[in-house]
Formats: sequence, structure tokens, C-alpha cells
Amino acid sequence: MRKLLLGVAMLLFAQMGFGQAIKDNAVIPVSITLNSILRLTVTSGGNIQFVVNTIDQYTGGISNQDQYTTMFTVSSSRDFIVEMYAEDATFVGQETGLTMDLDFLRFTMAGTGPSALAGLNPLTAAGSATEIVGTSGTPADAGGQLDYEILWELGTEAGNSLLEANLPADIYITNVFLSLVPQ
Amino acid sequence: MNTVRTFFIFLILFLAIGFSSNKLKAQDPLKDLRVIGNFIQFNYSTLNHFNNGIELTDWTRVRIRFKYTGTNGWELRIFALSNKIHFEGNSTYDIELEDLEIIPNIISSNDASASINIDFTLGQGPYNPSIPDQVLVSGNEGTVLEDPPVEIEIVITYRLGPMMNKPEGIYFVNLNMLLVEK
Repeated sequence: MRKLLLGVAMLLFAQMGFGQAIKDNAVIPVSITLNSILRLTVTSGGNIQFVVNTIDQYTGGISNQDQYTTMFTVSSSRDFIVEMYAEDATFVGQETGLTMDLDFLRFTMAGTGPSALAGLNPLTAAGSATEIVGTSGTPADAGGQLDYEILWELGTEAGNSLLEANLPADIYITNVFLSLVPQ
Repeated sequence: MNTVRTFFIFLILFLAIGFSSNKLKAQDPLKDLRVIGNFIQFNYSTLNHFNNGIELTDWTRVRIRFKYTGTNGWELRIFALSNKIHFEGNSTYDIELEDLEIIPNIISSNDASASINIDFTLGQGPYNPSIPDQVLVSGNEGTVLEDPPVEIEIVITYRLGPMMNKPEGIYFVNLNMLLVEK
């Protein structure tokens, strides 16, 4: 009897062993990878130099002209802001080591890109960066090839002329950083 | 000695019946669904991708080969295994399933009635015969006994739209493709 049972079990096993796989469904994984795009490119005016050499310029300052304009483009796949700040707390004289206040240098934003800062604004230092495009609460809309211009002018503020500051002749320098921040 | 002889008798019996069983059971699979290109990867890496989306043309090739004795026809269904295309991070940024367009094209078929469901919309599963929108392609013909099996070949194009202002990272969903009789 045991042998008979063993035989039947072997036969059943043989039947199962030759079964075919039948496939009537398939799983398709879908993966989406977003590689963030954040690009800020200064296209013109990466080195701005004001030369003050007349009394009129000391008293009335130097208004914006093409050579005092920084142009940059932004491409961003996220809403964004652009911050701007000076590397130093003041301009630093290269010969004398004396300083000149940052707020002698002021700027107006222009260009076709959205959400540019309005009005005439002074350059600020790192600790108090200025949001020149968008704000933390209302960032600029994402997009590609968004053009902006920074129209610089020096010493044009009434009652705050370079003459009144009594600055010695020197070359006053600082670096200005533009920072693209996704929101 | 007697035990050894019995063992060999059963062994021969086993092999004989086993192989004869193989011959008896050898037949065309009743349903066979083969998929080439069964991993879909959308890689957004340029502004053009972010602005206009990505299309993966004829990305998946599906070959269906089956026999059945029913009279109501067949359906190829697709549904998702989740209700969204999930972002690896905050679920706020999940993508809606209907944003993923699935566009089939029948490139060969011996079922003249095979047709594409123009109302197909990707939705969450499971299989539900009362949801016609799950049907991607369907037909009315069958095959009986020794008739040749129904064979259809389909290519599928996938399209996903603009992703501006979506956070970078991985988004994922599984699709289930199912061949059923109506």
C-alpha cells in the first residue's frame, strides 16, 4: 500500500513538473526624474568702473549709461528669487585702505524678466542682501532666458554727494554677488 | 533486493508517465502577453523638457497571443497601482495619473475587430470590469480548438506634460497591464 501511495505521489509530482507558465499580465514601472535647472548668467557688465574726475561728478554723481549696466539672464525650473549683496561692508580703497560707503552706489532694475525690484535702491552688504528679483513671499515665476538689467549710478543721491564725503583719491573696490535662490 | 527492484520499477514508471504527460500537456499558452520596453523613464534635464514635456514615442511594444473559447471578445487593460504618481518627498508634489498620456497604436492584428479605446484614461486599479476607461485596446474575435490564436501587436507612446516649478527628484508609479476576456 505504501508503495502504491508512493507511486501515485510520484505521478502527481510528474504532472506538476511539466506545467507551463501562462502570462496574461505585466507590470510596467514608470519613473520620472526631474533634474533641477538653476542658471544665472551675467551676459554684460561684469566689471563696472566709475571714474570720477570732474567737480560736477563729485557733486552730482554719475548717472547710468550703457557702460554702467549689468545684464544677466536667469533660467530656472523653479520659482526663484535673485539676491544681490556686496562682498565687503564698504568699498575699500586700494591705495589708502580707506573706505567709501556702499550706498553711494545705487541701482534700478530693468529688463523683460518678471518681478524685478522697483525704484532706486542702494547696494547693501552680505548681512542684508537685497532681493532684486522676486521676494521670499512672492518669488518670480519659473522660466527660461529671463532677461534682467541692473542700471548702476554713483553718488547721485541729493544731500549725499561724493564731494561732501571728502574722500581721498583712490580706487575703491568691492565685489558684488548675485545669488539665484529656488523657492 | 526486492525493495531495489520495486524502486526501479517505479522510477521507470515515473519517467514514462512523466514524459507522456509532457506530450499530452504541450500546447500553445492560452494567454501570452509579452512586453518589450516595460520600464518607462522620463528624464527632465533641459528647459525644453520642463516647458513642453516629454514624449516617448512607441516606447513599449506589446505582443498578445492567446486562445479562448468565449464569444464576448477580449480586452487589454491598463491601470495604476496607486492613485498618484508619487514624489519621493512631500506628497504635495505628487503628479496626477491623468497627466500621463498613454497612446496605443495597433501595428498588426489578425483580429479585424481590434480597436483602440479613445476614452482611455489612466486611473487607479484594481481591475474592475465596470470601468470601461481602463480598457486600452479591445476586440471581439476569439479562437476555438485548432484555430490559430489571436495575435495582436501594439506600440504605446507615453507623453508627460510641463513640469515647471516641480521640485527635483524622483516620481514613481507602477502600471499593471492585464489581458482579460470580456
